[in-house]
Amino acid sequence: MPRGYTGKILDVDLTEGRIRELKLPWRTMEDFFGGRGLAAKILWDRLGDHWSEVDPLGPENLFIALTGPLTAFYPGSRVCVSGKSPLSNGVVGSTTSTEFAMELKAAGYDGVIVSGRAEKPVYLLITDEGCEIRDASHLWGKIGEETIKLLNREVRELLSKPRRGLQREPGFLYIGPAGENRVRNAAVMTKLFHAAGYGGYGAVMGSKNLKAIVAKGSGPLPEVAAPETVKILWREVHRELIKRDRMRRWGTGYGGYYVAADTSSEPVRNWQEEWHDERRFGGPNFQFRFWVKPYHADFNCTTSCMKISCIKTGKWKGDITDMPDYEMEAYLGPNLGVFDPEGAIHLSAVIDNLGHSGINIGNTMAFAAELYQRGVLTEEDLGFKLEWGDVEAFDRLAHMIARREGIGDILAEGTYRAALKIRKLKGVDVLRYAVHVKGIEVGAHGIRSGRDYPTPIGYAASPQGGDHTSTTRDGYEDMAWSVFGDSAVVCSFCFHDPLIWEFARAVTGWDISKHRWCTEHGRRIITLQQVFILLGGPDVYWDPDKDFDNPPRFYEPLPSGPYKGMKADREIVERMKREYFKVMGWDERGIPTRETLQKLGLSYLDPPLQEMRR
Amino acid sequence: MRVKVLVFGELSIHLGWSLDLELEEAATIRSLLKLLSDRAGKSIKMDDGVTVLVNGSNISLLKGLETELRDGDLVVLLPPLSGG
Repeated sequence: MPRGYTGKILDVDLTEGRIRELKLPWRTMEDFFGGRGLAAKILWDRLGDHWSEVDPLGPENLFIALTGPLTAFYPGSRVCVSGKSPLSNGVVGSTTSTEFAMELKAAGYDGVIVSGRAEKPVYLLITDEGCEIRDASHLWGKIGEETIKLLNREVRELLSKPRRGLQREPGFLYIGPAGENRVRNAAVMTKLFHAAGYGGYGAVMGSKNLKAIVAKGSGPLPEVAAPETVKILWREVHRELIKRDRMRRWGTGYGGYYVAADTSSEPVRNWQEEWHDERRFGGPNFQFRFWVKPYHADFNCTTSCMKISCIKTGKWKGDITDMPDYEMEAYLGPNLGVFDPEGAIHLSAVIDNLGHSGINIGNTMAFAAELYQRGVLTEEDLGFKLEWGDVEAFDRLAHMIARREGIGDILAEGTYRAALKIRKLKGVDVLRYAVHVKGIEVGAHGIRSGRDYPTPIGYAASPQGGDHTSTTRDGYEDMAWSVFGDSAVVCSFCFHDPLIWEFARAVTGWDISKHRWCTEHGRRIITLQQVFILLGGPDVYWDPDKDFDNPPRFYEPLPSGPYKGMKADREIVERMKREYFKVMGWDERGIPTRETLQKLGLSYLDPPLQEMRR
Repeated sequence: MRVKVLVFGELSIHLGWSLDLELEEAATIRSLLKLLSDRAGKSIKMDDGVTVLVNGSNISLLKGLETELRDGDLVVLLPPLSGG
């Protein structure tokens, strides 16, 4: 029996209203581990033979929420959500911090697979007794705050036992109006301001009429292989993580000023620039006026890097959100031309409540604002003016997109598809303003200055496209960072080398090492994800010769700052990309070779690739 | 022999981001890093989290610091991985 796992996955068919328990072969669990890796395998097994035909927003798609063997043991409990992505038509492993992961394991399940579509809005309630499909009509349409309040009260009452009172708060995954209305890049939300943002899986839940999944478990966590070793390592890891001063002090939020002023790689006004020197925008300006909780964490986390901000006075009084979190800070701040901390906090709270992904919708709104700047979209098209820095206007736009009203209906398709639609409507080539890779809007770390961590092929060669948490590097170390974190399912900010590998061995009893993970498991998982991207469909297909590339904007010279004039170099991008494909055992176009598939135990992926190879 | 070196991250402040270098015949990564350290005026050590790639391969998968260089190779220095 594999250690660290419960060994059972819930398999729910919402069309039939049927719930089953799935037990996967141990070999599969060992080869794909959990979370992102295992979700990809499950998706291949169920949908791989006709992948291109599967509509991500149709009943056939799977919505998967999976933990991994390290979840709830190693610091930083997270859950990974996945499915066929409505944005990339591939598979993304998108994680979020939440007690839901621990509650699920305590209830006896490693994960949940949801297929089909419910006739009316429902939520799933998972407890030690199993899974129940419950009516969610009274929750549909509700924003994040209200959803949590209502669900929390309802579930705690349901689970309360006589003479023992109410259970403590359960763990939730839920969607906001954005997911409900199938906004293609909508997030899966948890705990008000945590989001599994990349991939658009909120829309997948919405397309199934699935408002939420709630878990409350009272069992012990699964057995581990070497309990005494795990105890010792657990203390060691905590001791090491608590030394991460800057991370604990500022979270990722120190980036709001420094990623612009220092590394010149922060998106400004839809990436038209990547440098600014607005000293009022950055960590300390949030701290003194807005922070109410400077060390916020989720279950089992030592790093505790999140900062909670609250607006206590004025027209946005009561707004509460995690700020500054660098990506939100950048995307709802400078990228919209907003340099006022209060404005960015307000927008972040709005985005959270609507269930948008801050990165992805921030990108789409900035795209719209640039089109307005250039006169392609007019006040008539929008219904109002959309000037850079106008917080009220972006607030309004975010609502319109969430409810698919007016121009919101086009923008709700995500930046890439909105660009295709607008190009058709207006007869103007607006794709050059769309900053996405393989349909996925690019995270707030630019590559033009060369000073930030993503390489020139970081997004271009990655099967997760613009996902900045999963950038391509060398086909070796990049596996250790996000592919492992997303599959073990733990927070990457709690990653510690070498302790995490020792921990993984002690929990599972398997022979896991950084080297083995990076050269075997990681390559296996990424190769599988690459195949999904190559297959794509049904509405959009990626051309290896054109689409495994940076957005056009990254080839424009930076117009300002100390790195003015710098841009991505096409020759270097092409060379590094080919070298990366070689390291991965793929051909020069990025198609996995038969030998590589064989080596990784993925020969079953060969038939659909044969036609693609030249 | 000629080798192209791309430098990303903070190191590029000291070295510039692209160098075309003439090296002696038996050059290794070790001798290259020494040359670059002298130019940068600081020591470039592996435990600072600098990743070194030769033609896309991490040197940990080759011969580490003893990896030999050949004419036309592309060496890339990458800063430590982080995210957010």
